[in-house]
Amino acid sequence: MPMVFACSVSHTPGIRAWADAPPTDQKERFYAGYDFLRERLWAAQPDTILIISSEHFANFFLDCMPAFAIGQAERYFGPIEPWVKIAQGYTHGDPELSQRLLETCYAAGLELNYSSELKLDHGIMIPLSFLDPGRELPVVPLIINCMTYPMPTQQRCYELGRVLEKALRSQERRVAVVGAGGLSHAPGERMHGNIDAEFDRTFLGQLESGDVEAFTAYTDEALESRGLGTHEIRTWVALAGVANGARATTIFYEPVVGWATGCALLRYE
Amino acid sequence: MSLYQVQKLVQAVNREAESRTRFLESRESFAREFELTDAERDALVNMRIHVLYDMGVHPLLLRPFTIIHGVSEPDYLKAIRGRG
Repeated sequence: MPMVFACSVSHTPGIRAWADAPPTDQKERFYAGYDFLRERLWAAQPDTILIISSEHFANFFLDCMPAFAIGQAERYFGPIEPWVKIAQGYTHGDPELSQRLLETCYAAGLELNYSSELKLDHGIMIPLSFLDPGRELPVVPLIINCMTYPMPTQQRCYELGRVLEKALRSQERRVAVVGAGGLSHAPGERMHGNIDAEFDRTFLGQLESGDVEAFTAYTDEALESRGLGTHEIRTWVALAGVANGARATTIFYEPVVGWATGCALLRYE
Repeated sequence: MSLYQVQKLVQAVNREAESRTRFLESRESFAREFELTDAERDALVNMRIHVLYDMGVHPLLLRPFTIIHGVSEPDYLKAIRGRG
């Protein structure tokens, strides 16, 4: 069955951890955007959420760093960071769907790593805290290395999304797909606090116009110059591959200084 | 010249409660379990944030490591920007 819902979202930890750092009206606009996405997600009556996020040294380290890793567990613990201010606990997995996605990806020549012990960090738990606050739906987490070089290219992330879209179509679950990360930010760097709103708006425009050539052309250098966190747009590019030309609409974009991130929410229809 | 070992120590302290406890109890002793140069050991044991940043410790490792040590964001930024 084709995916029943898709959105891309920012997941910067401040969204929950220091929620009141931005002006109240800005925070309320952003939260209202997430509320809208939650309503649309539940209206689509999904069985499972497939969430594509970025690695933050939560599951992997330099002893072994996969480009892509999918969870295949019965349940996942998270968030691992107590300071994110989301209650820690377990979220159900959907190992059958994980297995189905893996089989299709391998048959298509895309050998994802897989793990029965993935933990969920802020990158996944912040979106879920808005989209499924009661942890009712099972999730399948898929992690992309957006952090240490070499990383998969934007083109490869897009190809991953295309294969996932075919995999979802070939099975019966009603799946909501979420891409989580970005946009421009520089956590822990000298340029921390820098937000490149022009870059962010250009990228969102490319997604909205379906300009695959443009949004898969970003080099590592182009992204790093906007802050290392900007590498996380790979999760958005992968989701664009899953969406496969569906119309993209930006629900929210603002440079949120209090969270030191260009924050965006985008929905596919 | 063992950035990997420096980062391995930082990751252990960040992610493993038992390692964190041992490091905070005796930094010198814990650091001896890793293959470090004298300069690297000094930077880790004495929390020389600027040195660790300049040697290439990943910011997503370094910032959590400093949070564990109670370093505020303004102080962290001041340190990596060379004014700490």
